[in-house]
Amino acid sequence: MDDRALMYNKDMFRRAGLVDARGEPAPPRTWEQLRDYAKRLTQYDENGNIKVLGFSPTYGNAWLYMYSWMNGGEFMSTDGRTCTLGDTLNVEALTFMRDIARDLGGYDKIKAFESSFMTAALDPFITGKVAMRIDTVYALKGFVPYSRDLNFAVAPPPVSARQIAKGQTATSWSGGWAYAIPYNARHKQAGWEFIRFMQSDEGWRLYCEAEREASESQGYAYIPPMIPIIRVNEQISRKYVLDNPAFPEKFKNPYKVFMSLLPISHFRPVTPAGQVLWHRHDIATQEALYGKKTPSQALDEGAAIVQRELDRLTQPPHGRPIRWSLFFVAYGLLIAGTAGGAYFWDTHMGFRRRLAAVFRRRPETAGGTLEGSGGGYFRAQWKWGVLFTAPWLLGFVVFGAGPMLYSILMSFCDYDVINPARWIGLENYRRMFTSDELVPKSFYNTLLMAIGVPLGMTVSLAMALLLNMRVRGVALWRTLFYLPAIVPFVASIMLWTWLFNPVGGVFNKALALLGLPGPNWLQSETWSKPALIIMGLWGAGGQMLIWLAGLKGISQHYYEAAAIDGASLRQQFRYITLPMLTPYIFFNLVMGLIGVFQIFESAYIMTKGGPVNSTLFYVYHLFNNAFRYGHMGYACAMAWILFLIIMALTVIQLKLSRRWVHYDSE
Amino acid sequence: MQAGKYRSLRLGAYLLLIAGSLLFSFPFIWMVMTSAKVDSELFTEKFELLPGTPNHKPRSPFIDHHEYRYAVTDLTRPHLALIGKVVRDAKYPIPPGIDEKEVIAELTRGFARKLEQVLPPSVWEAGPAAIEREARKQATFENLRAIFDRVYRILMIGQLRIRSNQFQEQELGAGVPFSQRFVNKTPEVLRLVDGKDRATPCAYASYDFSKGDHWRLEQTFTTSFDVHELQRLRLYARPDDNWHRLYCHVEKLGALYEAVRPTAFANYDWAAIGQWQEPGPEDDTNKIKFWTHLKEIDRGPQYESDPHKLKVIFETRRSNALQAWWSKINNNFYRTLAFMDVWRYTATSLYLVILNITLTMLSCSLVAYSITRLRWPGRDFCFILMLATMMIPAQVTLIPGFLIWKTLGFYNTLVPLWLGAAFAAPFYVFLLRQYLKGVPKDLEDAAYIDGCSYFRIYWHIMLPLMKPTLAVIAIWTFMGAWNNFMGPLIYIADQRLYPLAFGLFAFSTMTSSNPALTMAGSFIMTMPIIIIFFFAQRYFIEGITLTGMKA
Repeated sequence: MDDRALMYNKDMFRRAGLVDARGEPAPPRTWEQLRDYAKRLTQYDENGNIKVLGFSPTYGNAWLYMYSWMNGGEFMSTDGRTCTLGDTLNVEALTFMRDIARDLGGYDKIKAFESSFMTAALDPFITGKVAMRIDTVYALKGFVPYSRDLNFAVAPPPVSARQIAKGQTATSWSGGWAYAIPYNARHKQAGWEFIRFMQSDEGWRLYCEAEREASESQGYAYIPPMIPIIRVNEQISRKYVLDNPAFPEKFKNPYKVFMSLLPISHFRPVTPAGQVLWHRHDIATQEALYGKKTPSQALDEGAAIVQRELDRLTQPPHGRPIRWSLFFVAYGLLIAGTAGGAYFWDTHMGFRRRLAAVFRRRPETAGGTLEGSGGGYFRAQWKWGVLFTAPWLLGFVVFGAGPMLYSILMSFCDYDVINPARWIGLENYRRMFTSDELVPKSFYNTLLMAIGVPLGMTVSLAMALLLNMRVRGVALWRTLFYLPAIVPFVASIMLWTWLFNPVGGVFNKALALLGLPGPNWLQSETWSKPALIIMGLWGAGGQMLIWLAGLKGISQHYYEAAAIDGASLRQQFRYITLPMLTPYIFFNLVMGLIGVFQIFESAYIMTKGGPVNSTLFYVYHLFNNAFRYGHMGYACAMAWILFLIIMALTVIQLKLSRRWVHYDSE
Repeated sequence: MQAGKYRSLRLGAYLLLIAGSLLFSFPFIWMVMTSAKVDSELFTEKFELLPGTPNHKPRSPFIDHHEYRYAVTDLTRPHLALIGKVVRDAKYPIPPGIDEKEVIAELTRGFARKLEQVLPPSVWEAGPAAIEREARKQATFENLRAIFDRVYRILMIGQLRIRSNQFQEQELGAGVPFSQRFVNKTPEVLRLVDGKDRATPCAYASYDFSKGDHWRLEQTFTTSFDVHELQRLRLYARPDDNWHRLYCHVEKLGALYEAVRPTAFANYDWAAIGQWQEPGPEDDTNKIKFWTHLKEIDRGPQYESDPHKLKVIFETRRSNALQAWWSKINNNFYRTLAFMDVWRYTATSLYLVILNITLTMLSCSLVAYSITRLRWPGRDFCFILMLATMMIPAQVTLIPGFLIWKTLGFYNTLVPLWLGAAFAAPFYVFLLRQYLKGVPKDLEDAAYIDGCSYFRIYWHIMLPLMKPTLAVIAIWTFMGAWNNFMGPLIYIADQRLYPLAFGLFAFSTMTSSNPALTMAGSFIMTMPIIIIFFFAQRYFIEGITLTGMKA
């Protein structure tokens, strides 16, 4: 577990004259002081950008929780039935956060500055770029190896005037992690024994010894973790810190402050709607800080959504549980029926006529039945034909159609993985279209990303035209152009995060050379999507190969004939290359659009869907519902709507393609 | 006229090619460069693409000029002379053997940064007199020592510890002053004196390789436990970032052991710079392998054989520029290999790639043959179904698919990652069908009339015919299987079963995104693909051309 305190840089306090009567730096004790100090410690460069940051309400590890507790707020009623996120005390806390951001020139500016932060030895707190920060005891641990000349101290987080009037002078909150045994675990008893051992004196002793060895082998002092058993915690902290002469003096006092806050530390409300509450409080904070909504508006809306989830969870489950035996029987019948239908359709003219009559259509092929229907020579092919297709048939029955039907069924159910699925009819679909405001938002985000498809096609076509020329070492050039498509995702993410950095990043440096102001890219609501599109363009090498294949397929005779007729290069491109490439354009377009609707990984890793949900794409929202909130049924409904959209797009494109796609041989 | 135009066009094309390849290979170049950086170079105030030149100075201790190279800013530059004067007046005690001027210059720069952080703007505006007054207040021994610590490179040798298989630990030579724990065999090159780094007692080592190309320390220690039980030997030191190489030899139980590779004196923070142990059961765990193996190289009566005695020999050899560079380049690769089990991951990936390619090619070609060339009831219906499933997003079947594999008992095995390939991917079947449509049937008909079975027709005629398209499929399958991320994320829980791409991701999170290590791992993972692509790209493009993307 952990708890939070205010760390401050003593040198910077001295520099700003924030000292007490004895000339010692004095940490802020009240909200008013914190706000005032933040302003006084912040410095700007000649362009008005932040050079040194006094304090950011969201940097470090504070969250709205911290500020609410500074103000005596709570997030849940004591009976756990009502979400009190929209409470006045919480609104005041969020307003306080927003005011600090406003004082310093706006949250955009703070975020732009924060994005230049690095870690380890160049942590902004160590390099003197940030004067105060609220963080956990683990941040302290991170300082140990690098802060040889850092002059800092730790103080309890300040509180609001309202709390001081009540006699409260400090607050903190603790998070942590827990062991859990899944209800269907195979060795529950063994799991329980393991947990008990890990929480025993001996377990903690071994744990700390192993950690100590690891940190000493890297050459720095060991700060033990906070242990949620008071007795063990005291033993361990005495052994490794308080009574340890080798422990650096500089960290002893900070460590003591963290320890002293434990008795008054809060913990977050324990509720089944915890994930939603967490996510909503974060969204509300972002909305208020970016000035999209007023604090009370943002919190009220968040509270309403959490309350709805809470009501859903606390009410007795409705709907009938699904009977799985019925599902399997129905699936078996469906498979058998379809197979039989397809068989008779091909072999029995009478059946085909009757079936066509049901759908009121004339059978298109009046030609009759398949060769061999009456037995004889062609029959031999039947057996082999089916046998050779068996791999796909088997895969389709087990991993194709079955899961599809299952997920259709789930989309009509309330299913959270832990409890059995219950039939709720169209409820999921209704919610999607009426009350979940993130569905249209994510859909809109996804649609905007479609701009990247023609862009990507143009860039990759240009590359292909270039690489299709007769030049020396073409294999090498192609490989070089294709490199971004090969570089592992993990590596390219690191690169791009750095390239897009508003302060030190290459893009903004280049823009500055042209005299243009650089946007905040991944930290900006407007520019996060363009940033992801630009990133996608870099990987255009994959498409380039398809274009190259298309270009190779165009017969040289056309060009020779055109050259004799005196056609210019541009005319050749316009009247030969482009028309001949239309099948490839079509292919890349279809694949590109399908790809757009499935964008997920880049947003998941780089932006986490933010800022203010600007990169929350459709599949990301689906993923959140399925794996974060446990709304499996709802996620299945979303997946099916996605399928319908993709299907509709493809059909429309197929219909349109007849007008412009030219097939050479047919 | 025409020729001139053509030539300028070609020139333009080459320029574009060069510019484009620089742009597109930049991530790769960055990856390679970063993989050769030491930790302190990763996060710098100004961006530097190239890794810094490693020190390989013949003499140590010395002063490093790298640390404060960006410390002086526009604010402090005009006052540098003044700050220098304050530093000189503070008379910071400079250890013998290093150039005082150098020290003062570095201290001045470091102190300039300190002042910038500490002094309020009003002082800077008030003029030299005020600055000097305030600077003198700040020029305390403590402050200067903090700066000096960051530029003074000296090798400090700390404890040598051993550990038994029963977790008994012993500090070898405990109680003896650090400078006397080893016998110095090369006193002309190396000098050891007792010292202290803050609270840590240690031996300060100063050496001069102009007097000899190596130095050597050795000692026979008495161990508190039986040497049979010895698990590991660990040396704590603060290196001097000088990139000379430390070789370790151990004599025990009548045999001589040698460390399989030397350790370079990289970085300048306290660390267990060397951990040596014999190959053993720990090598098969998925622990981070910090240790270097000890290998038996000789056995005989001349070696220490007492079961409670252990002889340790440390030898440091001088590195020239080339050796220093080589050590620096392979430093992160060795660390990566120690941190993650690259060979196991690669083997898993290769296994998956081979199975996936074989199964995909076989199943897809078989199904494509049947769908295009054979006639059987339900065939057209199946083909339509196949096309329809191509449009279903993977998310739809993700969850039920997982439940099925789990029910079949294949959770946390590699099976879900390759068996799926046996079920013929519709997209590839479609590609093959498009290609086959353009191939005349005469050959098969002839074979059939000659009495060939359908399977033999497939095997001897169709399969060779489909080669160009199969090449495309093979490459796509290779890329897919090699880079598969979602699959292992969902189906594999046991770290020993990770394929390379996912192992790399796990590794990157485990090392808290240390770019150098991630890039070294990425490099290992990318190299095979680049080589394959380089040689195969022609067949790949031809294969797609022949398939012809026809609807």
